[in-house]
Amino acid sequence: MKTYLDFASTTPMATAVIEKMHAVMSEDSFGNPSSLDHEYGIKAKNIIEQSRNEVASLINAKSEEIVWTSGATESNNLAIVGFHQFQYQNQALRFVTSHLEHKSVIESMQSVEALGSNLSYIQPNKDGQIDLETFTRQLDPDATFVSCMHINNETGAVNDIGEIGRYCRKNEIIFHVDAAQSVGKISIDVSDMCIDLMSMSAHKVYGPKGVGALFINKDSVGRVKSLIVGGGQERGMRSGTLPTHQIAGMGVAYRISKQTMTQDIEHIKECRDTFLEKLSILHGWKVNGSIDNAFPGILSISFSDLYSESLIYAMEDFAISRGSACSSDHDEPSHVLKSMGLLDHEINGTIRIGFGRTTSLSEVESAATQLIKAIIHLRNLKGDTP
Amino acid sequence: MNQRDAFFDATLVMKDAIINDPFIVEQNSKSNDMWLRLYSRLNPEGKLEMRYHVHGCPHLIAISSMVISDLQNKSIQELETLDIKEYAKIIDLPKTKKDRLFLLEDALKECIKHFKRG
Repeated sequence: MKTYLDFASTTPMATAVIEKMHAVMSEDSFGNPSSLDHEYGIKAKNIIEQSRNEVASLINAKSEEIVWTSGATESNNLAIVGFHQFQYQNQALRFVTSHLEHKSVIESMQSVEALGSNLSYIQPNKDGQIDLETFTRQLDPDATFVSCMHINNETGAVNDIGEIGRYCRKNEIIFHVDAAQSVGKISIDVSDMCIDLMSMSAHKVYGPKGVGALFINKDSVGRVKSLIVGGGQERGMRSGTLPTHQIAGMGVAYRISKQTMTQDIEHIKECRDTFLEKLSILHGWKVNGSIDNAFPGILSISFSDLYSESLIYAMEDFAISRGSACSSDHDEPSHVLKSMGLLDHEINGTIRIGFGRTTSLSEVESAATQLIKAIIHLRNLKGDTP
Repeated sequence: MNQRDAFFDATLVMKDAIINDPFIVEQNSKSNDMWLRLYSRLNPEGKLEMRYHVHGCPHLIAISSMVISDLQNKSIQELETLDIKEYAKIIDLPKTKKDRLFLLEDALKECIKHFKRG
């Protein structure tokens, strides 16, 4: 079995999450949480509401501001398209996003653009980050809606969400945050950060796949239009019978993340620093983005003289990836790395390594050792000096 | 030899002075940054000695290593009859990576032309 070092793509479920989900599936909790005429439904509903509280508690929201979805991709679609359809009945607005975003944000934005809205993009700074200065310098002065991710899934760059949120609130701009990579990993306070809509995922923080949530600020947004109709669940904003066991798993994952966040980040930082220290004996590589402004669990490294596919192949005992999991299925160069100004050969030589709660320091050291061997082998094949 | 063994086998990678005065041919892929450089000569018995440098995906590295290994001490006539497609099957080359095969094939054709010219 390979050592897993792709925590930005997904994470293994925590034992307590599996146990809770198993218990929910085994016990008399199989009722439909919308069937409140009997105890089966009520029991399921209680589990769901308990989990809703856990999610809300992690981000300092009210429980009624949490809408369950199938994951962050659906949450992004619902936040952007659902907001546009409900609040403005598809009339033309001015939307703003960035070149760093996940495709589910970019393509949702493009779908509202196709309905006549204006769409503009913020270019990140050279470190692949959007800070307040970068943001305000490029912002469309008539912007109505801004979507900006918190932690970038390819480089780990952390955007200045608090500052951007406060600027948007002051200027009456609706602010959506894709927090798929950040929630449960770094601290988020939706009230302090002036966030209006926020997308969340369970499986990036040791929860199950297939479940996520959208935070909808009750005061500033209130409602979005459901993209899935027929059932009226989630106060009419997301139809479909709720998956009790998955939601229960997400609740436990978020509770654990809240409890262990500080020690997790310290451990992950130690993993990253150990890895980079070992790699420092080599020449010809660079970390994409700034170490100081990045989440340490995501490390994007470019070897401009090598081919990432071969590097990954040579790392036979480790599961690492070329770019984001969503884009490594096809050969298009990463739009994120391109927006940071990387050249094609640098993108071709980029790998992403992800550290997590369960990564051990000995695994990190072994991975660095094997990567060094791989680089020496591939440079030897080219006739270059290792 | 399987794909993995071929990928890691660096025995026939060109090192300084392994082959004196070789015929050198380099093929570059237009669609990406991959390339293959062959160094070849005929020994006094008229048999091939071949080395290489390569840069690209694991399939290109593996197929180059495998084919060049099999061509050692072969005659030009044997090189002419080599069926590269057989190697593509061994390493399970995806259809989308056919261009890797052409890189090697074109380099070998250049070798044949060179040695036939004498």
